[in-house]
Amino acid sequence: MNVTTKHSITTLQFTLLIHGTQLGVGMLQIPRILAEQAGTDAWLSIIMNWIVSTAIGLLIIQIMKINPDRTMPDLFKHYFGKIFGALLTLVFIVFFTLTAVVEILRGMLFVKVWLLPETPDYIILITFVIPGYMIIRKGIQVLGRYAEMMFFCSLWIPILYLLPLRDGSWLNLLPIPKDGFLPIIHAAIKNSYSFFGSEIAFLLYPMLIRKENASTAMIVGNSLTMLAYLLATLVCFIYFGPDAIMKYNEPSVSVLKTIEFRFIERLEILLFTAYLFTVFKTWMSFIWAASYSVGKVIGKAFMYRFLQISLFFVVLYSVVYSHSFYENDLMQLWLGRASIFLSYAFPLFLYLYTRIIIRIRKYR
Amino acid sequence: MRIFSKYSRINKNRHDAIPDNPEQSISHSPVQPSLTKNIAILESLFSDTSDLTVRFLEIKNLSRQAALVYLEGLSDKDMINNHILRPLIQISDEASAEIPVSIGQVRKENNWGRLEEAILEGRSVLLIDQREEAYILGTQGWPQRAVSTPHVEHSIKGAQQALVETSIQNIALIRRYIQNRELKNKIVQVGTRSKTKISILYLEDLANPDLLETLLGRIQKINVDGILNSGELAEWIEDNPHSPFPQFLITERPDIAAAHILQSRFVIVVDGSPNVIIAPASFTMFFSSMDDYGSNWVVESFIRLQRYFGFFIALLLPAFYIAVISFNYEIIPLKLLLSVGESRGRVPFPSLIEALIMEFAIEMMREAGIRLPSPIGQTIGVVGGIIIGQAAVQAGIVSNIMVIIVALTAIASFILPSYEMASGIRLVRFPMMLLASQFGVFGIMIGLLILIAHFISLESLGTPFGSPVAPIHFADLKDSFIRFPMWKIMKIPTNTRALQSDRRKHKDDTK
Repeated sequence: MNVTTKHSITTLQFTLLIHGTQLGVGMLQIPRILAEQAGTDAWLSIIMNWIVSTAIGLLIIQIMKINPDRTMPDLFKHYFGKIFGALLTLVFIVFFTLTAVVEILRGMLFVKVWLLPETPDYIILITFVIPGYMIIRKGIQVLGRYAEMMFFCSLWIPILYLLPLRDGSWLNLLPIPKDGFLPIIHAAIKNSYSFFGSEIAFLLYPMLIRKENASTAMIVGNSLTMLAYLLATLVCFIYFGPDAIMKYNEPSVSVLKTIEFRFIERLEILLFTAYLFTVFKTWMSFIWAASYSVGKVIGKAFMYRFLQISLFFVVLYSVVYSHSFYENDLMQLWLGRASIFLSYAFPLFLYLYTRIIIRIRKYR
Repeated sequence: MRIFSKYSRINKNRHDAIPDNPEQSISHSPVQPSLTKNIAILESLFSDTSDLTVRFLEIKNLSRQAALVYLEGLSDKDMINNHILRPLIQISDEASAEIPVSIGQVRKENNWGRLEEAILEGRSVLLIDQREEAYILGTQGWPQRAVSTPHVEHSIKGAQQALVETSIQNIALIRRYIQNRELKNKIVQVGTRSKTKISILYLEDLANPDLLETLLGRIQKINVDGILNSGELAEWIEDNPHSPFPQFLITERPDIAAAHILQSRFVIVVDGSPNVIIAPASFTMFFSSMDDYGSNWVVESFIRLQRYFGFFIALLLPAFYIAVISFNYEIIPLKLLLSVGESRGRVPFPSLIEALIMEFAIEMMREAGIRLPSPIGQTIGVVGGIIIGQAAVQAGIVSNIMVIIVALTAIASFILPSYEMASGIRLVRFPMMLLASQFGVFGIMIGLLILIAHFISLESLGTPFGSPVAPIHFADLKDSFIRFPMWKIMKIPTNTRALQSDRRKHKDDTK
């Protein structure tokens, strides 16, 4: 029987939620940011990031396998006691919220640059927040449906990316590696934030109907993200070459500028608009994760309250203060640093910790 | 004697200033052993009811006085005269039968409330002297329309019978397609005054009992004086009545109803309405018609895709025009932009006003076309097409391109088989246009996003309305955007939560 309750997601939804959480605004700039670090070899660092991120994701699944019904707050409470558990949850709530806020503000900035340079920030944010709130309010199932639908609705975008390859030069990629592996590793570390998002599995795993598929779903979700980044990066590298790519702020959009059909010019505007659907997935997942954790810790009623208040403050912030790319970059940098601890080091630590606890219990 | 005094008190009450709801208490009184008393009760129940006929007679077999009561016009006179009155008056050979009537439905009843109901339903009531039971005879026969061809949902190859206003006939029309004893029929009465009979048809070995319970619960909760129409009922039991999308499919075709019963859905027949409600519905149901299954799957798939294309045109084309004209003119090629500019050169309004003028004009024309008597209806076409279309362009109120766009939009919205869905889309178009005029392409995207947010959280009878798109069910996609060959579609849609997934199996097989 296929009866699903309000708080359960299918394997496909689980996969695409993880993929959707990872793939966001970063996509637009990733070729340039990578190229600044490691030139045209930098696509290798995406693969490195993918390997690390998948490994961490699988560790998270391993942790959750021992505690299949505990969501993140319960898990922390179980392992670290009431006070430390709550503190740790709080850290994650702040992390999720800030990530969502940075992401939503960044989305707003891009809309401002590409589509609506004259419109006030807060109006763009209000148009972001209304549909976002409508979806998040309905819970994970609807969010999962959104991730599913948008994934399949945006499958035409990769095909468009193949078109600039006609005019590109594959020689731009050679030789591999140009300056050794060190810059590639540097680029991978600097760019690690583009893969964070698999830690949402801490919250999603208990809702998954078929838990035996979780590992596969984690690998597939990460791989989809990797493929998307890799496609954009490689196409940009091949098309622009190692030098020209630095001149574009959002090379993933600009690369499509040259495509022109008889019936449509400036395809990149339409593409960018369509890509916003994907951008929404990311910040919605994060703010859902934050509000769900709040609901778990304090009480269900606070879940909606938290959601409303945080979204309201984002809008209010843009009313009183004009957000700039520079500030956003700075915030992203700090979040990237935090993410190395929270998204990568912490799951590893937690995994070892659970193993040790199991050992100790066995000896007893 | 005690009963009599109670009764007289009630009778007195009727003329008092404050009636103590006297019908209520009479309704619960039992049938009296005396014919005269019964007639008195009857007269107090149905005072000032000139279409109530009371025929006094003597039943020869029993040699008793009796009275036959029915509402003229609601009952079949031929049947009453030939099959009830004649055998009762004449001496019958069949001495064994208690009352020698030759009709199908005969039932004994001793409660006046039930008798009253029966009379109002068009049955006849036979009251016999010195009996504490009356007979209810099934003689319903009211003026009704003959079964005719569908008016709204035309079909080229499908059956040409449409549902009528009598629920029994509608059930029969549907049952003709499914001759299976698993086809069940649950009756609920709704409406404190109208007492509308609502029948739910479903296949018992297929349909999910939880959904049936939800449906019954919702119908029983309705507290209203009368339900006259199936659309009215649909609004009472919809999951989200504020949505522009219909959450139940309403059809006038018995074959569509039967097709959906076979897919483990519920069909709700409202007495007095020539439409039935099909629940639970999913989005893709509104894009399929009976003709889709009538010929080659390749051709029909193309037609289906065309409908989805039409859906997006009807929803977005005017908005896209506004966005391109007033915001993102860089999207369209220069040559096209020049010809649009040339055509718009004389128009003094912004594109939103221009679009609104034409959209409202065509909406009004559509509505006028429905309301006008059919001989005058054709003039609307002339007035709309020639006068408004051509003259408005010449006068410089709207541009040529706008006329093309409005015409395309109107045609696109009419190719949807479901009238309710098409109306919903026509409505949603206007906010889309407003958003497009404020934010351009970005506004359309935001509008779509709000629509999607609404769409994926919408439910029909507690099942996801967006199925099989959101949540995705790959097997169900075979009969959605394109129609696979018939032998490939052997699964029952997941969102109906059917008890079995293969449509070929039925209960007898497993035994």
